[in-house]
Amino acid sequence: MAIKHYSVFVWLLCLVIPVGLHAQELSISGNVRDAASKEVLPGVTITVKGTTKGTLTDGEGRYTIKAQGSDVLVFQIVGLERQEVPVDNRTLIDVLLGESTSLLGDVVVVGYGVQKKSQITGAIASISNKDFRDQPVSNLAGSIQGRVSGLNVTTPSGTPGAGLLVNVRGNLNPLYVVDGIPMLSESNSSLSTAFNLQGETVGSGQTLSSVSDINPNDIESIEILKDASAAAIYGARAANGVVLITTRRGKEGKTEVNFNAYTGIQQVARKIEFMDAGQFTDLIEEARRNDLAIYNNDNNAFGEDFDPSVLTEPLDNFNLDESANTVWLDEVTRSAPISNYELSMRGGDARTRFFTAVSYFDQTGVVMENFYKRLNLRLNLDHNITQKLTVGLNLSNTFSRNRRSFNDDTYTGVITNAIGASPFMPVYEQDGTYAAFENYQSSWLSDNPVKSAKEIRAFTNNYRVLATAFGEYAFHPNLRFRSSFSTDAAFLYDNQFKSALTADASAVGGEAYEAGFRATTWLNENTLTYSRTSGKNNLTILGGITEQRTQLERSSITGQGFPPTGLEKISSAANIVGATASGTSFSLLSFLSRINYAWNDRYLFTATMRADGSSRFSKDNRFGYFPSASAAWRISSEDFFNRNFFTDLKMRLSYGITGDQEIGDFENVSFYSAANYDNQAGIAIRNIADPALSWQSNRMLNVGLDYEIRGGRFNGSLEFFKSSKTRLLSRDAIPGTTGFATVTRNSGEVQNLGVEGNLTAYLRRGGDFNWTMNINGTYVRNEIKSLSSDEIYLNAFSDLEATHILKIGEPIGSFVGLKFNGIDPQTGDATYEDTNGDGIVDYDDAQIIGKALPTFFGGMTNKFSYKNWNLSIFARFVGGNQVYNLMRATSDNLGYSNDGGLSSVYANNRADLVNRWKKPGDESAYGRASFVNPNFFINSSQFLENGSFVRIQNVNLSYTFPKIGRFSNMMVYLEGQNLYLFSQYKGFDPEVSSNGASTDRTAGIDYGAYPQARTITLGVNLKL
Amino acid sequence: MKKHSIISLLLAIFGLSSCNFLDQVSPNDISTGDAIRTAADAEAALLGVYSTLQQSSYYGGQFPLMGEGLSDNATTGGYSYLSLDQIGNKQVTPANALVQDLYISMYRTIVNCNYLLRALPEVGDLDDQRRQEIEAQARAIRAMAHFDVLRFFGEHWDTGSAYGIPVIAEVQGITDVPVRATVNDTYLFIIDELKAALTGINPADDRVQYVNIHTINGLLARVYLYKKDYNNAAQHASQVISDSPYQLLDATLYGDIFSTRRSAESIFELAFNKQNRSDFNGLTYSRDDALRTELFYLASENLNNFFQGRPGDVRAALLDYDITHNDVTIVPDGRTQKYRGEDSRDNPAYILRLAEMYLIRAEARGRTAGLDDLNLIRTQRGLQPLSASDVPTDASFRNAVLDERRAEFNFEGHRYFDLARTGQIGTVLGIDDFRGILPIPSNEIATGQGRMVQNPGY
Repeated sequence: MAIKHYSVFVWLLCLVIPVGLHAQELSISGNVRDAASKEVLPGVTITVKGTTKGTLTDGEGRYTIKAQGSDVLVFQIVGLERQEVPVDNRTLIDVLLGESTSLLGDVVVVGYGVQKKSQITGAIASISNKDFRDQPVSNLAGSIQGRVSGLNVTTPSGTPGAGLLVNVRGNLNPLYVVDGIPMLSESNSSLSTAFNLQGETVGSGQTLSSVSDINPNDIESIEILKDASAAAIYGARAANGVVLITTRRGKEGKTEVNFNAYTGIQQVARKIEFMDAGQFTDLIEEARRNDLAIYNNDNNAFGEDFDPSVLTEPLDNFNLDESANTVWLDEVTRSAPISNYELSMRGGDARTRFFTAVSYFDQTGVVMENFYKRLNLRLNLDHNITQKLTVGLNLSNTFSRNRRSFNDDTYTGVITNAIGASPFMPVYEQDGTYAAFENYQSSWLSDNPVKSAKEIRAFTNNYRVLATAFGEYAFHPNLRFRSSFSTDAAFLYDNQFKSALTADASAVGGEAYEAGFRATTWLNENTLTYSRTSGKNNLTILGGITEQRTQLERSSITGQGFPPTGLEKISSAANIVGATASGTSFSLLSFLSRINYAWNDRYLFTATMRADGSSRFSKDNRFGYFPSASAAWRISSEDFFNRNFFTDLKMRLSYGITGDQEIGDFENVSFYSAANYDNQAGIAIRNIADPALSWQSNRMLNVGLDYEIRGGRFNGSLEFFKSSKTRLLSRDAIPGTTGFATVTRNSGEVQNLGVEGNLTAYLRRGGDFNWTMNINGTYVRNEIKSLSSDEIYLNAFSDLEATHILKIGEPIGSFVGLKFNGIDPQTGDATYEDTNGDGIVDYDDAQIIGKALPTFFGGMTNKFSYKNWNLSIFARFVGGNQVYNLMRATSDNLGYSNDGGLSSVYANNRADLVNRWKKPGDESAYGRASFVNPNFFINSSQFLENGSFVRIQNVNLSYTFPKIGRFSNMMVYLEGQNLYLFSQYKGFDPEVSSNGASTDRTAGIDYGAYPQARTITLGVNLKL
Repeated sequence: MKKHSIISLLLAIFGLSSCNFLDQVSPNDISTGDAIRTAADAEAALLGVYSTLQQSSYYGGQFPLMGEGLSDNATTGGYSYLSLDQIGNKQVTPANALVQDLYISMYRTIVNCNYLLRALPEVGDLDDQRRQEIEAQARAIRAMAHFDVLRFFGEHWDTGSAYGIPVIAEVQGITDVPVRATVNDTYLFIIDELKAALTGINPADDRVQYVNIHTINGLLARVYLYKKDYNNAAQHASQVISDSPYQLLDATLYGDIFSTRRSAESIFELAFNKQNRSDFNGLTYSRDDALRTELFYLASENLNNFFQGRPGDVRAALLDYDITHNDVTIVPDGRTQKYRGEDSRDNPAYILRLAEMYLIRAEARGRTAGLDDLNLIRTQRGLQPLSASDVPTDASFRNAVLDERRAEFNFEGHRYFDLARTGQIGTVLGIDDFRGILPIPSNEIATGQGRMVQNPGY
């Protein structure tokens, strides 16, 4: 430990001086535990200060050592605070080692190596297992949500196994590298979940995440490489940041057996209240009365041919029995169990070390029928063949099965149908058949939601193997060569059966869809590292070559017409109506190098260079070069620096270029692909391409400051960054006369400018009661600096008017729509700004009304411990963004019929709409009920809501039993996830993106996304 | 020594990574530069051109039906979203997504023709006659697609107008910005192309699922009619009527045009099948007990009233309009039955039918000389012939022809253009005259670098 805590030092000095008079050798024994977790600590080094005498604690934390009664014992282990204890003539000394407050001695994983925290020159955030384990989440990104500055993780949907929007400093979708393998992280399922009634895909819908294939509890640490200096070693794939995942490995000593289990219950965290049958009837009748009054005042108000009897005649199917009074959200949601079981072992001897784990995660969805189950197996093995040669193996196996929720995120889904369904409608008729919504007046619906959930059976089965075999040879103590061969193989099978009972498949007698996906990646990496320390000079040089080849294949088949006997596989289909099979591939050849130089731990320099060649670009544009340079100055090491307050202070500066090649394969070539006509095979043009297509590059400047105050009692960092993504790889609008709406090309520039910081404060420590607080926050400003053509309108759903716009000077993901000017208190009409002044309010008056990207976000953790009790409370906040709550065009329709025949009603309304405008002079947020015409405009700021929130994300209360029976340690905990949300949002949750996790350009839409759960779990950790 | 072994190891590894490592070939596609080399390739690319006519935004459904939605024949269904509602309300804005898709899909066909036409002279093993036939079909389809763009986006009724459409007769780069030709130049291009096609086409081929000599004459008749060049319109219509093997069906068999495939009345009819379906059924009928909310284009009350005034007209039977349905919320009150066949959904696009030739000739020849043709269609559809006194003026005759066209071709995509070319958008639909054509999609304006001009009024 480089920095000494001066007060401790003084205190020790006082204690040491009076002793030394006695000179009697004692045999001292005791037990060493972690002060926070109360777990026993094996492998703690105990030395007698000033001598070479020393020992280690055994597997149960026990030690015995001989020393003079006047000696001082020094207890130390990596990651915890070193402690000196005077023997004071005692023979039994039990010690609690607290968390080390200074992080400077910690080792941080960087690309292709590790580095001491004190020598880091780039912006790297590191988070270790103990900060995220045991949370009831399936995705590792979900487990670090809100805990790292600069990293914003959004949960677009509450569906189990769903993909997450992971944004590093304003850039979406970082590269995930698991133990050195850049892993395929996108959604591989081809089950689209956003269809219109014609069966066409209208949005990207619910996506899964193949990052969920990694079990968060197997992870030792996660490093986020945020600036170019840290990330540029991953060159062409690092433009959006890099997430390095290091899994747990074996260590020398007694085999440690851990059993962890938790089980709990999830419920919809915030429900939306809907009108009951009586309130709904009142609304519709009031709407018709209001319209009749307008008609009586002006017979042409609804057109010349308008027949007012539709406003007075009883509505068909509307004088219904109110006894059903169905609360539809309660019918389709449920209290859902969640559990996880995990058994792991780690151990080894001087030559062989292993870590192995098996775990089973089982989450049922809060929406009926839906679930996600995952089985993980892992083996990490290291073996020293000789002193110089080490070999090893990492093997991870995942099997998961997901029952999907049909059409999460679009208007034919279970949730969206439940939102619109009429309270008059029962789930089942008297005879046990599903009630037909056509008989109960709500034309918004596409089907009985319970029927959709039960009779559309869709599954995604996923098999994943990540494996690496490696060898490391030390030619010389200073020169090491490492070579590894890795494979990432993903096999995924989708199957979906829509029974003939469903509206989606009744016309065709049932429909089945089966699809297969296969991805195989082969990766070979070879690095040579030279490091040398001479005097005050510290030099490390890394060089390497890597090759990667990835092949993907997809196939699908669709069959229609099934016998009514439960035969649901394709072979039972009367007709095969579609079949596809296609493949694609890419390869990457890279050369990388890095030089680290430090002088006296005071002046630190890093330079990196990577050259990547990608098959995705034409021969001439194939190679990209990604350099970076950074420097740091530890001012606190200078003689002139007064270390009374700041005990460590380091300034960092970095600049570099990273790249992005994340477009599809073969986008640089215009292709013909198969087409057919008149039962004959032909070819038609599939795309139009820009042969000059090449890397996107991200130039980033980072200025950072790492500080420790009073020996690390307060520590943290501050960063300022400015990044310019230029030559953006984007689907760019081009003239339609090319036959295509877009082309993939390099154009445009986006700038992210931001400040981020974090602070860890040990507010109280050393006694029975400890309190640690960590707070982090980030401010990012995203701005489009140039575009090949300005003002490009984008539709989150292809059958809506444009919801987003790309405009120079505005952030990505800006919302476009009419500006709502409130409800006219006299007429109850919704009013909008007529921007073009033509006297007509229509979509031509659309303007920018908000943005989906948050301006600031962060989190705060408070950890308290009292004796064996631990409590941690973690809250997360996001602000400055809006959410386009498009569901409100349904749930806030104010009695609109949406029916040319004016014979039916559209959909039920939220209970809050009982506070609507009722008579002239009423001031209300909701307008006059209206049956004939809609008194709202879907693409308007009327339905744009503040997306800011504070969430009590996680609270964990645990108790540690020091020793129970055979168990050296047992911890029992009660945990709450997503306990409370502070938000004004009118939907389920403001943290939503119905367009899935794939794009930031059309983010922030709520179109009936799966609600998020509140989870309470009870768990136990047993250690043998 | 050790240094040597490291270097040789690195070299060995580097050796693995020969340059080929980065050459990947797509197994599903063939690059446009390599695609059309042999006669078989050219045939395949020609079939591909036809397949582009089948795009859902074009003759796969939306092109004809959107025109109906914009006219008095149809309303849009309970299936409600802004782009579709705008069409039903006849108040389309430039940002309309359906209109953008329509625009692009027609140019997709044109671009496919251009690639084929560019490659065709280089194809080695193709005999000259077949080369000419392929060229003729591609040029005719390219002309038709230009005409379809003109009908929706250019002031086709006024040859003096500057608001024609971009004429794309060459393979373009992605950065090329199109400019609009004048209406007259657009017509000249279309007519030249069709005439050139006429010389190359095989006169013996009369398959209706492909462009044949009668298709080209039929298209010329239609184009001349829109251009108000009545002599030429009548002449080309006559050629189809006299030279082709196609026949009008008896009144009792009118429904066969739609329930069978390639009836004797069809001149150009796109062939779909079960694996390659069209959208007509899904957009207009869907299933017996379909809801209003499932359909895009419903038959209007106005169309029903129109047929009420034509007793005996067999064509009224294809309009399912029954407000006495027990439950009007379930079954839409007005649906066309031209596109039935819910199981197979392979409804063809009826691009040219023989009846149109008679009605073009009737309109082109005028009140006196054209009455016979009009009456032929009337009697063939169960109506009484009109006498000269029934149509005392040119205007009344023209309206009689337009009514006949409406009765004959409703839900086949003619009505909106008929109203626009005869200047009746305002009087019949009660909307501003400039709405006789659609706005150029806003993305065209945005990507047009100031050179792409919007239609007047929008």
